[in-house]
Amino acid sequence: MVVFFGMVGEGMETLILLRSDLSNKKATFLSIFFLIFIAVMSFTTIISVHDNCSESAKTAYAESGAGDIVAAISKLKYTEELKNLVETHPMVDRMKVYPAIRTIKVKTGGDEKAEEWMLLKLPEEIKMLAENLNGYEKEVPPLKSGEMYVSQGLMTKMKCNIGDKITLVYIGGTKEMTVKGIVEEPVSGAATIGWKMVYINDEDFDSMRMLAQLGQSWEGTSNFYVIHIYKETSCALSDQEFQRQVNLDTGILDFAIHPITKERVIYYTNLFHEILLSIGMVLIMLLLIIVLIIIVHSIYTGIEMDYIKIGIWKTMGFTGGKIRGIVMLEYLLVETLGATAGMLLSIPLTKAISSVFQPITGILVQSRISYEKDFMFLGIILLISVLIIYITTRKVGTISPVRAIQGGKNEIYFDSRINFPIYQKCLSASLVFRQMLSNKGRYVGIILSASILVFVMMTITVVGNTVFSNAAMEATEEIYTDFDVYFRTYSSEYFRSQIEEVLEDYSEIQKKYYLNSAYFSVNGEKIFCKIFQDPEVITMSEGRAPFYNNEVIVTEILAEKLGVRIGDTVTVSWNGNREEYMISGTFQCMDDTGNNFAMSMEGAKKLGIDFISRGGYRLKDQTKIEEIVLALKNEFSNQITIDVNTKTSIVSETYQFTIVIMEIAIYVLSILFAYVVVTVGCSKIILLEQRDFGVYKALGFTSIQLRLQIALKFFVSSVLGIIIGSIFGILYSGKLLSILLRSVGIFKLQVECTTDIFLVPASTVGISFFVFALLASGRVRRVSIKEMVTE
Amino acid sequence: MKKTILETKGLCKSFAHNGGQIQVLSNVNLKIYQGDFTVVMGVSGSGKSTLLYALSGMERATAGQVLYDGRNLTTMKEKEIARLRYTDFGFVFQQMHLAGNLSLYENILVPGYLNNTRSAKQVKEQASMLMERMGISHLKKHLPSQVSGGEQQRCAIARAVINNPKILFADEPTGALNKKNTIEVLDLFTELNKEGNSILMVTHDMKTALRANRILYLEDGKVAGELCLPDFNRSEEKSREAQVNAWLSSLEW
Repeated sequence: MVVFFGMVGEGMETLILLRSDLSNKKATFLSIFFLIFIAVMSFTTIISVHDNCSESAKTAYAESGAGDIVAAISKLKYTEELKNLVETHPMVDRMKVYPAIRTIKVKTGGDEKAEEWMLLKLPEEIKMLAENLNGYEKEVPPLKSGEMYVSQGLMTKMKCNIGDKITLVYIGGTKEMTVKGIVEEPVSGAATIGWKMVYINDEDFDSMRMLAQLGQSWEGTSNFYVIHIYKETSCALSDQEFQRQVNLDTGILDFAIHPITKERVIYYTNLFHEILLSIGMVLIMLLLIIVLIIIVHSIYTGIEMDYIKIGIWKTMGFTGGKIRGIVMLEYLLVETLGATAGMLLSIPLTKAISSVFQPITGILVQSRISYEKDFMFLGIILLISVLIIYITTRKVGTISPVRAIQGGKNEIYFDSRINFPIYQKCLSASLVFRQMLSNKGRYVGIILSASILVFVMMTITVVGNTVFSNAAMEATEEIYTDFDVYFRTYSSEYFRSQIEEVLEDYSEIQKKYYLNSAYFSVNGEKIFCKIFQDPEVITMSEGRAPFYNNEVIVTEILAEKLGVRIGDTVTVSWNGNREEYMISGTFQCMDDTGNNFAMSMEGAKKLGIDFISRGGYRLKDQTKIEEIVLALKNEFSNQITIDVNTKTSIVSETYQFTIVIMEIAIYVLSILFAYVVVTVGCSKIILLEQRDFGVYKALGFTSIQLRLQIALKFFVSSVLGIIIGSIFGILYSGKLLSILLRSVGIFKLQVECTTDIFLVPASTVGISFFVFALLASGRVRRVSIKEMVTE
Repeated sequence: MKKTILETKGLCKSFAHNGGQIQVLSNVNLKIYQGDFTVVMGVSGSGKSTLLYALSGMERATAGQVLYDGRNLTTMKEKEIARLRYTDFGFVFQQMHLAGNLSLYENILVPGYLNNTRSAKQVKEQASMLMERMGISHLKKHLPSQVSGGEQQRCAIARAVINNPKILFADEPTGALNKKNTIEVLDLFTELNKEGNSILMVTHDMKTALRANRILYLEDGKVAGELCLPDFNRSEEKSREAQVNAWLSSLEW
């Protein structure tokens, strides 16, 4: 800035020129103000919302007093010896143990779902959310029998409300409960975390636990402890490393279900907004490039138009550096004003948007503004802007005052290598092409802007489609089924064939799988594993499926995390059994955000698992699903639980709503950007080609014909931009999203070239550019032929 | 008896300036005849260019009428005036104003195509013929920036006459040319006039005015004098110049 003010000087002359320039180029500066305003408002809001969600999750976790590792362990497995082993571990500071009851499924509104919830007595340190969900209650009222407190994330996941009745099914009995209120439960309270902790009345808890204890065989599957393990303050290991070390030394997690560390809880809690806000941030950054393109375009055309004026300034004693300084000051002033306005509006926006994610995080979200980060980003943008203006204004130095005062820079058209001929039948169109070919440089900015807008829109459309389409789910190599059947007891091959017979009465089975799943320790780390009866159903990324009993396959994400490759050996342990397996391939699976692996049933038998727990079916005739579900329930009601996979069951309405809102926001922003790009571009082109418009009017063209010609120029530019943007979109939006979606386990996202991914952004950009140019070219009406007459 | 091609009745034109009005043309009544080479002269600020704008429909009159072939230009819609520009009117400007991205040949073709009364082939033939006649046929593919001012102006004239306009409006057509080019361009205008084209030209230059057979002198927005001359003949140029000079002197030019 010191250099910059040195360039400008301190005299009143600078102020006069600055004021006159700002006034003469009002439209351009207003457009840049508007673009910077939108961009800064968007990114400061995104940064603040991101920080608010993340900080709230961390604070809530710390205030809840939860351990660095939280896990649930069966009462039968939690022996005194194991307890002592963990408690005396040198890295463990202390442990807290809470008795719990595990559900196997829940029933709500006629639907039943296989859900593992840990029922606990209401602890003292819990916080209850107020009815309007934007504050805490001062006191947590005690629960009566038949009442329970749940997290907001659970309500989002289950689509239930306060007052709703939910039947809890556990081995030992069932109990109908009413949702009494919402508590902040930062360990498993987020909708993105599979298992849940639910608080019930003490008497209910004791009686349910008693029922579960009645049969020894039941107790192992119903009566649990939720254990919290705290790290020694002197322990320098990360939570994940701490978990791994404790498990390697004690083996406790081999017996536990849902072990999770503080780091992973915060990671999962923030997962959804992290992904969406990252995508949003990247897209806003792309839109910021458009702002810079507009600035460059505006400076270039400004210099072209002010050629004589700049020459005259030079004759008056202004140096090239001083003029460049004035230009820089103008743009920086406008950018700073736009940024200030954007930051001010981001304050109420942050408050509004932060709460959008609360149903997913389940944590009361703060609404602070991250001023430090915002100012830092703003500083970076202004710095880039200074650099770009400095480079762009170099042309000012080359303007000769003599040439300028002798009539200015003559417009010189060079013969284009590609000359579009003029046709009588489409005279206007052929003139448009000829003009564009003669002034290619003037349209480069427009074409680039259109291509970025198409890329941005394509990318956000891909996000929407990936979430909402089954085909896209397949593209992420998930096994999508119409419904899953959970077997309550041991399922024999004969039993499974009986189910298939029922299905085949209604529809042909297109795809089916049978599997079990469990958390195994892999090299000491607790990892989710899918055990396939027929590994051939798995779509492999590399290598081959685990056909032999000493083979496993891992996701690319897990391979990277464990530092293993195909051909390496890993040690897998479960319930005291330990086996070596060779990695035969890699695959893609979103379970546990990509941290998972798979093996065959034969392989799992070596660890002690030898039964199928669920099956999934995809039918040829999907209209029959309802009838099939009814028939299965009638036939096998006591032996199975059915989960129908509708789109809303895959992605809850809250997720859908948030993604749709984001799609709309990005589209609206892009259209606003298109409007400003076209308006600025159009006004510059009209000024630069004013003489040509006068010539054409003198020859007999009407204003509307000339306006259509301008609109056509912008449309043609947008088409070129659409082609470039679409090519980049097809090639890179998948890669870009894969980078951003790695956190959910998508390593490689194939963009399907469906018509809507291409057509919606292309038509939006094409139509916007044409219509906005037609509107913005209204001033052509005011171009008079008399301007060509010299008095 | 000559046929009137353009006529003004009580033509007034004023501009708003600093909250007031500046009267540029006041109650101008004149007739322009078919086949005439009419020149409008006057000192700077006399309103001659404003008169040209008003007569050619570039500028709407504040009051009064401009009648072309009996039709009032002041009330015509933009589309009708635009049509007149490629059917009945031709324009030649001091700074030529050719479309810089089109070749000289294409510059001539555009109004021919726009008129759309002849086939593309006929328009092309006409354009080639005009280029030949203007002595620029060897510059067909050249862009305006690649030829001299005189060649540009000859191209502009060819562009103006491709649709055989009933009247050719010219604003200081030689103002930006050197002496040699000025004579060549004026010869073309004289030739076109002899072929029956009506010409209305605004000029400061007496040498240019000598080509006219009718000179109107404008002063303070009114026609202060009119001089009719026989058709131009180069052999009588000297005596013609003396006559015009004497007339202009009498008007205190």
